[in-house]
Amino acid sequence: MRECDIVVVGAGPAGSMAAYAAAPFCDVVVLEKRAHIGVPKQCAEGTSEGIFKKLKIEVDPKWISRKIEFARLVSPSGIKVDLKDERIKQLKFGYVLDRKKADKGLAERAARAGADMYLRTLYKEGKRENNHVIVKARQLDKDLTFRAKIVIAADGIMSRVAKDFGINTLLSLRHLESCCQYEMTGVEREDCIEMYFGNEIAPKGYAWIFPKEKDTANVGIGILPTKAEHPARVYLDRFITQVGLSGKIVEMNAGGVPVSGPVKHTYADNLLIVGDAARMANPVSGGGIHTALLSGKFAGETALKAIEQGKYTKKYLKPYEKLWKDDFGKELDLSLKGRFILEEFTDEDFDATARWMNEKGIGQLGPIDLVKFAVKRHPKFALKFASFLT
Amino acid sequence: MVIEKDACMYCGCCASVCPSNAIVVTDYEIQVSDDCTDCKTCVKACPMGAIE
Repeated sequence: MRECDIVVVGAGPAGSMAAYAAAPFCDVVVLEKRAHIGVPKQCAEGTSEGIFKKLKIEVDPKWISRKIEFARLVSPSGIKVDLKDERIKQLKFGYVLDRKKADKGLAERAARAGADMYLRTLYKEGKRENNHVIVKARQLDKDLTFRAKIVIAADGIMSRVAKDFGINTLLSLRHLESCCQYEMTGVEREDCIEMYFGNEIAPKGYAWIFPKEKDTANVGIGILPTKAEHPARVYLDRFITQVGLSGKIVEMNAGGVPVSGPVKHTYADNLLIVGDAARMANPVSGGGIHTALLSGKFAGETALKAIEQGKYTKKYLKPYEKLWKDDFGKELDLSLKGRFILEEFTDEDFDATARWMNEKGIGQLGPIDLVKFAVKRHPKFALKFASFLT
Repeated sequence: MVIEKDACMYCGCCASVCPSNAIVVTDYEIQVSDDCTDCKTCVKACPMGAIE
């Protein structure tokens, strides 16, 4: 049995940030089921430049596949809305990352800070025992047991750790974006991420083209399975034909994005839940790198403080919830409401909204304009928008 | 339910929505335990259409 202070399950961005925050000051173990960190990628890889600055993470140029200047929304009938004027620039669209390199780089940071890394180590089960946690895992052909004070669940979409400690993280099918993606050659694009909307193209989700090095791009799609007739892969193949991409597929990816908004309880006795495991992806964009990095850092810091106080009950882990809520709680709340409104949109609604955004000039639009427009179009949106604003 | 393993990408969509917590996906393997009630939620979740 290996005694330690913290077991982090999962070496994605959230797990590595948690380990990095705590490892210099206590004994941290990271369990990663895969043999290669960051592989396979399960992500369109877009994130903001600002998040790395905010977290004072030195970005290795190798982590960046493309710097992005603006975003383009495309309506079902092909109307393009370029989000590129001054006000939009404040959003700083930032990067399309190379997640294989970025995730590995973040894990290396944690390792250098002192975290003990266990690769190809599958979490089997965990339980509480005398104020501590016992975690059983299997590395290659060996069974391992860890006794720790706190476990940080950074095990992604499948989120098995939290369930063992009594937190229900089960994702409803209506809160899963089922995604398929190809990395393709022959996709010459400006420094712009493109998002295609429409109920035929991507039922209750969107299709994307995110450019990477040279002529390559992540071309993918996310759909809500409860509203779709086919698996994501079928819609992706159709989309590629529709937009006329003729390049070759050089990588295939599949994955899920939780769009439920965060789980009700992100902490319990001896437990903190971070990133996708806590369902912290943005319910509209599906972006979850920023919230993974932030929640990981907050969890690592909270765990460390609890350990310094010698108390690991939920009372001492509660500050974690305030930290992440104060930072991005509102963003996720608003986006979830936004998601439910977008789910009501017909293809005509998307087209009308795109036309109107272009007529008005996107930089001139505030949230109130958007509400006025939508309510005029569909009085039934009034109630939903009212809740959007409160 | 039956998983066509040749079409599986081991992405874990199925495991995330399994009400019985019966699916474990590793890097290279997918295991379904006896807790599976054949509710077929995973069939719809799979982006590859690999489950019937």
